[in-house]
Amino acid sequence: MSLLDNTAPTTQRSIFFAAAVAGVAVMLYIFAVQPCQDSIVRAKQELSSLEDQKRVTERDLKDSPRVKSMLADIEKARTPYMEALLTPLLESWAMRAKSLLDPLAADVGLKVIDYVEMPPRALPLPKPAPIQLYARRPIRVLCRGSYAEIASFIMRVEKMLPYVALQSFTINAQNAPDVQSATIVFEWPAKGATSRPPAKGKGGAR
Amino acid sequence: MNAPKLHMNLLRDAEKVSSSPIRIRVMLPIFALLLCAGCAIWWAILFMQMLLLNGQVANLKGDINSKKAAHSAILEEMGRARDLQAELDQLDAYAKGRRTWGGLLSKLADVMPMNVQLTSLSMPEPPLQNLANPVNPKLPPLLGPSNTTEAVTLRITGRTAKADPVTSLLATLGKEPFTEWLVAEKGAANPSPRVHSFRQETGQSTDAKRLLAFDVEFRCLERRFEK
Repeated sequence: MSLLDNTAPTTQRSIFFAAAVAGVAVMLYIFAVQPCQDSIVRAKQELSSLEDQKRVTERDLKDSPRVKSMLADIEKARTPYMEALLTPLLESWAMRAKSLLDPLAADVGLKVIDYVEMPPRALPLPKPAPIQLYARRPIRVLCRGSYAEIASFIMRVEKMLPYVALQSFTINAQNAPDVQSATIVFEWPAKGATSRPPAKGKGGAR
Repeated sequence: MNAPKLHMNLLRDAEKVSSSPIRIRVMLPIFALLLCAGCAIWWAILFMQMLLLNGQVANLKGDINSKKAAHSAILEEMGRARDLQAELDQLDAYAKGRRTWGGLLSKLADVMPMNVQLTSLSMPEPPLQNLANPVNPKLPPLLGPSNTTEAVTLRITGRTAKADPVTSLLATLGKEPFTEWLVAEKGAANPSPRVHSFRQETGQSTDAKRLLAFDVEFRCLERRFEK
């Protein structure tokens, strides 16, 4: 202050004026320039992210015909499996198997005694796992007939039901050489558990 | 004439330290005003830039929003395609693991030697799947088995009057076309066919011949549940 005391009043005024103007400049920097810079940085980040989003959107939209065609191909490839899936008849898997196998057994003259449901077997999980999993659903068929009839029956099932697989069998000789007892286990693909709840709004109708 | 060198010093002390002809009282406000004007211009430029960027952001947002419905639809289709492909992969794996056995049974009847009588022919059920969580059995079980293969065997038991027809039968089963189903590997750690027993039966047949009972197991081509 002693320095100012010795200065002329005009100089003092100009110093105060300069200080006030410099203060305004500092305020301008703090309250206008800096927030504006921050906003620009944020806007640039947002712009960059939006540009990425737009690029992805345009790429996906451009891919749309390919995705639609791929989806159609998958649906087409999946249709035979869907038609071959074993579904319960009157809440019984064995009843459905009976309705499918009885005509084939009758064609070859095989006498089917019983159909028994067996526990399902899981299929290995693909990666990524689908929401709807599929399993192998075995049905045990107890029957009696000649070896030729049993072999014909198995061949006929394998031919007429191309997704039914023979899991196991036992043919035991009986006293009469033309009559054997057989236990045949056929397995079908069937719907199993779900790996996770379906995402909301995704997946669509099956 | 020499003028005297005497003169009066009219400068003040504060003015003495400055060598500049422009006085500090003039310079300081000018610098301060320049600084302030610079800041204002800087801010104005930045503000314009910000307005421009915000305009671009708004345009992009509008553009993206206009395509949002179509994009959501295609994303949903992509997700569905991914999920259905995974389902198809699992069903394809099932189909790959399917083998037909009717042909084997039919051909087996054709090559059966006259002196051999089968008492049982079986393809045993595969062992039950172990889906217990390997890390902690108390955790929920696995959704699928970790291995993609399943061993299959064919067990043949029967009677014969002599050993030769059985040896001949085993040799036949080890060749085409039976190699389509059966594995013939001698001398391996797990040989196929494996003779479980080949012994004389205690009972007598109707024509009073002593019969030999045999029990043979063939390893079959394993089922591979792979895509």
